Amino acid sequence: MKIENKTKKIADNEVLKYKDFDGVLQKAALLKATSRMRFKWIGALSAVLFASTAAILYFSAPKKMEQHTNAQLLTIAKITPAAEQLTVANNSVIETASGSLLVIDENSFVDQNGKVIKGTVDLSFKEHHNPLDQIISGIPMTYDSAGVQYHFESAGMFEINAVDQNVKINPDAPLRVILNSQKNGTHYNLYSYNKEKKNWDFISKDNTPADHNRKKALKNLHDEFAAKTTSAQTECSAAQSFKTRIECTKPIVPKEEDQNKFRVSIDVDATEIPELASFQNLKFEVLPSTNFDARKANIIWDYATVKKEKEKYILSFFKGATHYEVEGFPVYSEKNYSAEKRKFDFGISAYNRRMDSITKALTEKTIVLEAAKKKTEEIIAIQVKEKPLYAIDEKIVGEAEHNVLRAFSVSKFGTYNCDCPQLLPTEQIVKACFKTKENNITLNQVYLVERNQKKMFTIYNSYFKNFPFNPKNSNLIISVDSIGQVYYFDNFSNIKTADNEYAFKMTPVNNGLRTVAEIKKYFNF
Amino acid sequence: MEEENELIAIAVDDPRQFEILYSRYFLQIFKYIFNRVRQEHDAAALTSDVFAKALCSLNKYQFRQVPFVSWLYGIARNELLQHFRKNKKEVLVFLEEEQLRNFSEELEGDNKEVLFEQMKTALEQLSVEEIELVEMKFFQQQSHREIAVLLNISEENTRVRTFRVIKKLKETVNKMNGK
Repeated sequence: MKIENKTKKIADNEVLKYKDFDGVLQKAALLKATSRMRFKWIGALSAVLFASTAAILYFSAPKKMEQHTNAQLLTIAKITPAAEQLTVANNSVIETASGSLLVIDENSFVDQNGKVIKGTVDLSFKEHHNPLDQIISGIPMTYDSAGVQYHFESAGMFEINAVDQNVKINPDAPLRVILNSQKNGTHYNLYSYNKEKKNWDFISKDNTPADHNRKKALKNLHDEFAAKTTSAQTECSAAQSFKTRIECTKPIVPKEEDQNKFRVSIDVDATEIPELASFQNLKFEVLPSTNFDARKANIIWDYATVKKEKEKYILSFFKGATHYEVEGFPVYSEKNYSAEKRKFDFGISAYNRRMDSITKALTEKTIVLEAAKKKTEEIIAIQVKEKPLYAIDEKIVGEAEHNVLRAFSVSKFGTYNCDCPQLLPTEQIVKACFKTKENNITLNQVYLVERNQKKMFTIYNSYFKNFPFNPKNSNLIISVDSIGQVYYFDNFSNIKTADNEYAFKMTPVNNGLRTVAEIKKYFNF
Repeated sequence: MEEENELIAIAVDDPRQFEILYSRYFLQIFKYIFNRVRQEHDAAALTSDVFAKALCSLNKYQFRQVPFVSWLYGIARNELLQHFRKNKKEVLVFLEEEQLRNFSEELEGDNKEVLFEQMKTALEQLSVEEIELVEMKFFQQQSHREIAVLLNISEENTRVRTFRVIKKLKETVNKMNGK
């Protein structure tokens, strides 16, 4: 070893010009591809063969020009995936045909100017839960990350759009789409499809717990809205009670005293009669009533009080054991009237402003309460409907057994996916060509479906010379040729090749199959 | 560190998210490598290799109460050793003269100038592992825990080895002075 005095220093800006994250991603991709191949082939093939195969696999990455999108192929094959049309109202929980839930808030939809849309909105909603769904969806199911092409193992995907393109989702009040995923597991991430980049954007890890299921999710949702209902109820009651308290302070219109009527001056307790608190020199004019006796005016009473009962002012006079009550009304002397009227005008204006704000707050709280109540009821309705599914020993039975509700926060229309990126299988690799009984057929890409794994891989023609699959899986190849003929192959039971070449004998699908339901039935999905 | 672990977890699933960590530590790792290879292009290629390998092994990174950057240093160290082995080059250690003088002054000696020259000679007599230890501990000011992770040894072992290296250096210098 040699020790040398350092003489050369390098500046930060000099170093930073070597920063190249894309280069790192490419190197990582190469390392990954190489290490995967090494793992599979070690002991089976020579190092030379391994190196060349790995290089071929890596460097023969699909070229975009060769690809047809799924959507183009489906158009050629005249297959039109149908969308569910949903008319949704504000503040609601909608259940889709396949059991997913849409939770919509009061202000979830806005127009092009950002103005909240009241009433209903028409949505188009498509869900894709199995590989065939995904093929038919026309949505690319590959994910380019770090220069490596991954294939999505999907736990469910959906497309949500407004029928009226002027309708947008309010980013401040996003929709909640709770997808009825038919795959359990905690290894999935959430993605949204970026049309501009033609790639998927990672949103976050899916945080659905391992022991989750549909029943628990519905219960959680119910509890969430029930708790919101309780809290909103408390808020409303408090707001209502406050409103009632303030209503009592509404100043009453001052009335000028009538010199011809009996009047009495009594000090008012402002805590009991707040609406009179701001007035001074107040008198009460005695109203004519059945028990009024003018002679009582000549009595010198020990003391007098005023109280309010059912919007009436009751004047009480006491002398020893004698107690006399009459109804009165506050009035002002002529000389005080203008000043009191000004006070009233000021007071009533302040009161009205205050009441407007209190009423507005109460209305808002009531809306929140009603929304929470409504959503709770809607969730209960779904739970009641599904109760038979959970009836046996509280265990989930039937199709719901593996269903997991996975939640997405959707702040713009588009396509969303709950996925785990996968690499192509490597258990067996053949040089593939595709034939019918008679002829070779030219295919741009095929879909390799692992039915038992519910996985789907898009394999482009550049990969055909190293066509990968796992013979232990229940495989199905589906493809569409350039004139729209759909083909399939599913006999993977005995693929042995002496020279590593294999011709997949594809069966043409009856061209009469056009609907998604027909195709699903045909392939038994 | 919690934030860093979260970033690592996200990058395991989506390698593009690794860019944040890459940007955070690029300069440090580049400079560490450059200090050894002295060639900018070699340093750039090796730094890129370090991050590519880190990205590939990200799922194996285990949080051991040491910063993520220490793990990167460990990969960088291995890359450097491979680089020198592959190119059949002598392992070079470049030390700042000032650092070397400061380190020399930590040892006993009357004539600092003589001691500085003697120290250079003494350091050259150490093994690759020993000089690395001195470099990490005294020139890069790394903690025993961080060094332990880099060298894949226990923290206690790091302390013992450091003590022995310093003792060895002192003995070599003493011998030179006929003590």
